[in-house]
Formats: sequence, C-alpha cells, structure tokens
Amino acid sequence: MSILALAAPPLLAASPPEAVPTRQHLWLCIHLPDLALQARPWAPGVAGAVIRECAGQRVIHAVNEVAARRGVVAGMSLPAAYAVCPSLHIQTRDGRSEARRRRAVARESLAFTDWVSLDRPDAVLLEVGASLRLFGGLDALRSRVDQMLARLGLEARIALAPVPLAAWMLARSGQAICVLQPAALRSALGELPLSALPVSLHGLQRLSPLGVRTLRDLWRLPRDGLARRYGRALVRLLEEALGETPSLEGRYRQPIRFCRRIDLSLETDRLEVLTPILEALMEAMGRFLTERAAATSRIRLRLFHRRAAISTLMLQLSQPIQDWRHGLHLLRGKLERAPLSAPVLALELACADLHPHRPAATDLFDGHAARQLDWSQLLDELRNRLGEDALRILALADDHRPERTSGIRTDTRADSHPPAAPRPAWLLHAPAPATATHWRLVSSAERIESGWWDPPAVKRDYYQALDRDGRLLWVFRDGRQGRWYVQGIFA
Amino acid sequence: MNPLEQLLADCPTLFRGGQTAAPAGAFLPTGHAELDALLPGGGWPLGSLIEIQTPAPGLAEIRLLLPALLRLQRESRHVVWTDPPFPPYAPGLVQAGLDLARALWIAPATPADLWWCAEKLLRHPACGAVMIWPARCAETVLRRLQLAVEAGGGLGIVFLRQVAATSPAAVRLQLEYRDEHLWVAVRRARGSWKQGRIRLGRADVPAQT
Repeated sequence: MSILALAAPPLLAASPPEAVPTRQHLWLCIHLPDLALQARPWAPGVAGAVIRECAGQRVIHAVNEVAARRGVVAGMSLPAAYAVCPSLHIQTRDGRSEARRRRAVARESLAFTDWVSLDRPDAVLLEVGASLRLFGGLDALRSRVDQMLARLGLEARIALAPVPLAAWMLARSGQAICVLQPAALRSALGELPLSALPVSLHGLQRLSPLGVRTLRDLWRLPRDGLARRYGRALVRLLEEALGETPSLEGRYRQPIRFCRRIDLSLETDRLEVLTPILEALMEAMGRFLTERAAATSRIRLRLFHRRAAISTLMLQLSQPIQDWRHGLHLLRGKLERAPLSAPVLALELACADLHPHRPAATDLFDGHAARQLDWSQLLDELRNRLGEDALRILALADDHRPERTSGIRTDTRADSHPPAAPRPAWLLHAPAPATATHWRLVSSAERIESGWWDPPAVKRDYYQALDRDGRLLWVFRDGRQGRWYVQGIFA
Repeated sequence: MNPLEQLLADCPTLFRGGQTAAPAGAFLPTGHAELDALLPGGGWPLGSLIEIQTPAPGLAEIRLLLPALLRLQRESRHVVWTDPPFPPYAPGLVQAGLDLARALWIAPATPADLWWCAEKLLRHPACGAVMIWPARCAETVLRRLQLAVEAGGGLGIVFLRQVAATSPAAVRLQLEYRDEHLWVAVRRARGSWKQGRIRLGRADVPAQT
C-alpha cells in the first residue's frame, strides 16, 4: 500500500525536459495527405472533394483521384470547382475523425519509438535514431512502418531527416528520401518550392517573378533583409529547417483510459444476470486503477441493445475513487432504478477521467478521517438517487438583503460573517404578506436598506413578532408600500 | 432473603414497577436540566428515534434540540435537515453556533426518497442527528428507521403534527405554547414511567446560546 502511495503517479507527472541530444536524431515523418478524404466515406467512382471554410468562403481542401482528373485542385473556391466538374460530390471536413486517425497512427507508432509527435499538421513524426539498431537498420524499420500503415489502410508519404521540420517538409512535398547527415540537408531541401514552408506567405509569392522559386533561391538572399521584409519568423523557420536552431517536438502520450466490453452470449434484461458481469467489469477497472495508482471520478456504463439505442449510465463522484466496490454499489443502484429499454447484448465500462490516487491518511488513534471519507461516499450515493439539487449545503453570502444572505453551495468553506442582529433559523421561500393584527411586536425595529445598486432594492423595518401559535416570527414593514410581511421564524 | 426478593433475583424477566433499572447505552444531555431529569439516562438516548409532536411547524424545534446538535457537531458528526417545512437560514444557524460545514439540507422529491435517504443517513456513523418532517408516517416506516438509527448510533428526530397511538420511538415529546411560554411534555420515555412537563422559556425571547 505504501509503495503504491509513494510511487509517482504516472499520468499527471509533468514530462521531464528533453535531454540535450548527444547522439544524432533521425526523424521519420509519416505525412498523410489524403487524411481528409479518408476520414469521409465515398461511393466508388465519384468525383469527390472535401471542403473547408476559409475566410467565410468554402474552399476545396482535398480532392480524390477522379476529381483531380477532371481538373479540380485543392485551394479552388467551390463555384470554380463546380464549373470544372459539375458532378462533384462535396463533404465538409471532419476534423475529429481526422484527429482520431492520426492518433491511431501515433498509437501504433509507439511500437517503434517512445518519441512520437503530433505537432505537425497532417503528419506523425517518429524519432527513430534511437531505434534503428533494435529494428535491424533503416530498411527493416521502413518496411515495418509500411506494414503498419497498410494495416491501418492509410496512404502515406514518408521521409527521413535529422531535423523534424525538414522531414515534414520533404514528406509533404512528396520527396520520399532519407537524409542522414545534417550537412546534406541544404542540398536536399534546396529544390523544394516556397510553398513547402509551413506558412502562408502571400508576400513570398511576389518573389517568384524575381526568380525566387525554391528554398535554395531564398537562402541566397541576405538574411537580415529577409527578416526586415518578411519578419524574423521566416528566417527562424529557415534556420529550423536546417537544424541551426533546435526545435522541440512534443511527445505524444497515450491517454490512460479504461474501457472494457463484455458481450453476452444471450441477450437478457434480467438484473441477476447483468449484476455479476458488471461486478467483473468493475473489478477489472479497480485492478486497472490500482496498478496505475490512479483514481477516477467519472464512470460510464453503456448497455448495447439489438434494436434500441445504446443506454448510457453516467456516474459522477464528488471525490475520485479507487475502490471499485463503492462504484459498483452506486452503479447497481442506478441500474435497478432505471428500467432497461430493451434486452442487453453487451456491457461496456469506461473511465477516462483519471486522477492520481491520494489514499486517505489513516490515523492510528482516530477514525475521524476515514469517517469523513465515508461521509462523502454517502453523499455521492444520495446525490446519485435524489438528484444534484436535492442536496444543499448551506453557506453565508455577503449581502445585507436577508433573502440573499443564505446561499447554497456545493463545495466547502465560506468565510462571511452573519450580521450582529438576531436572525431566524428558518426563512420562508418568499416573504408572505400578512395582516399586522395576527401578531404582537416584541422587539425594536431594525432598518435594512440595501441593494440600490442591484435591484430589487430593499428598504424594510424588521421586527420580531409573536403569533397566536407561540411562534416568534421575523416580520417587516416595507418602507415603500407600508405593507407587512412575514419572512422568517425563530425557533 | 425473603421469598419475594429471592424470586426477583432469580427471574430477571420480572418487571418491577416504580423502580427503573439503569438504562443501557449512551446518552446525550439535552442541555435543558429539567428535561434531563425527566428522561432516563439523563438525556437523549443515542441510537434511538425521538418523536416530537408540534402544533405548528417552526415552534421551538431548534430551540429544544440546539444544545444536543451543537454537542454532536463538536464530536465532528453531521446534522441533517431532511425535507424541513421551511428553508433553514444560514445566518440564523451560524448565530446559534452551528457549523455549516457539518449541516446538510436535503430536499427529496418523493416520500419514498425521503425515507430512503433518512434510513441511509441514520445508518451512517458520521451522522449525528437527522431531523425529519414527514407529512404522514406509518409505524412500519418508523420501525425501519429505529433499526437504522440503532446501527448508526445517532439521533433520529421525527416531527409530527399528529401522532399515532403506538410508536417505536424511544422518547415521545409534545411541544406546546401556553401562557406566553413554550412547554415540552414528556409523553413517553423508554425505561421510565415518569411523565411531566417542563418550561423551555418565554416564547417572545429568541433562544440564547
């Protein structure tokens, strides 16, 4: 137990600063040019294009082979594209699906190296310099990467270079080459057009009539002049491409997430069948959390049916838990109360919201802390059944108007002070109009006049009054209308 | 030893009227000396239900219970208002000395939810007192609550407008207002024959702590 508690939580630990490279890095860039197309379903043989919004206009983002043969190119405006190809099928870009595919590549790439970066658009970068020997050389590694991409069903262009930006620019330009030495970068990149740079430099296009079409031409220009004309950023980019200024690639880390599904051999709506399966899933989740010294505050149970839509049960907890039995207890309660819409085919349990587990400090002499932990678990259970609004924790608020002095909060402390004059233990939901003959005033007046800056403003004279039932009421006379109201009861 | 004493010594099941055995269990002083004198054990019996009949909601419930609630909170136990007739007012409670961090107000939507959460709370050892204001109350429900509170060791306080003839509550009280004063009548206290009425204080003076 103590080892688990002391071990550094693996998920939230900040990534340590990358060490200064002592050996040669080699970056393998997998550029996925057709990601936008592949993220969308297409009927075979149609001219298809993916469009994106660009400055309020719809622009062609990517085109498939058929459309490209008809003359549609990326960057065209939509009317222009329809003009050249009236039968064009368009779909809007699905950024989420693209990101999912890129993440899938990154996940698989973790088999080759621990440094995978998703920093560059439409690409996945792998630092393979450290893994070459393990995989038996460059060619063997390349073929493995090709196998992986084939397995994922993705078309990709691959280039290798000692600098990530150079590898990305080469792959994006379709130069499937491998540059091993930084000294060779200048000649490898030199022939690339200016559009290979990851910037939209409208001014740069003006350079082409002057004969500046490739990066080599750009390098020939004096750098300080370039910086003055097009900004330091361009010069820095050129330096970065050659590896003269270091760039730090982000590291893709697989999010820690638990998700497990059990398919039933026979669909059922009987809880006595489902409960043991749920228990097995929860136990697996508990093991998963314990192994990672993690705790979760959100658990999702999904029930799959043959015809009906998936039913989802969300369990939200006030404190992250590691103990699966508590979660099981709550989920079972939820399941028992929510009638099943249809027989269940499969159950899926997932928790994504992971936190480092902080075990409650156990005190040898006092069970107080443990009792408080139990208490919050009980509140979870109540909230779970009664609803979020049913549990109200009282708090003081800084306002002189009585109806605003009491608040309901969901977290813990408030540091306001109550007023010095006596206040009742109960406050009616709203002041109730009353006739002054129903009571006898037993205190002097307390004037409350406040809130003129934030309507409704109040101007009231408050009294204590004894009614016929013997209750001590808190009443006031409205300073504007002169009417009497009951607002609270001392008890 | 005469035969009667012999018999009483031999048969512990024989009940002796007028003389009460020292009650078992823990007790919490009520904070009202006269009331303590009337209750066996000298206070509220912990782990029991207390039934209080009030003619009108808001008549001195908090005044009667406040000393016990404060004592429970000092033992870091929680105090729960379950479906109260009016919203509890935080400034008033703080003036009375209550700790809002250990006060909870629950507003269940249905009577079934009310009894369910009351039972859950009473069963919990960190829960010191659960005050319940039910619209109606069946004896079977009270029996369930009694079992729960025995497990939790706190106080279950049920406020009723009308009381049934029988009840599993260990203490049954009645609040009254008469002659400008608030009165508490002990109708029944388990383990004692004593009945009586004590004065809580003048009705027109707010409770002092």
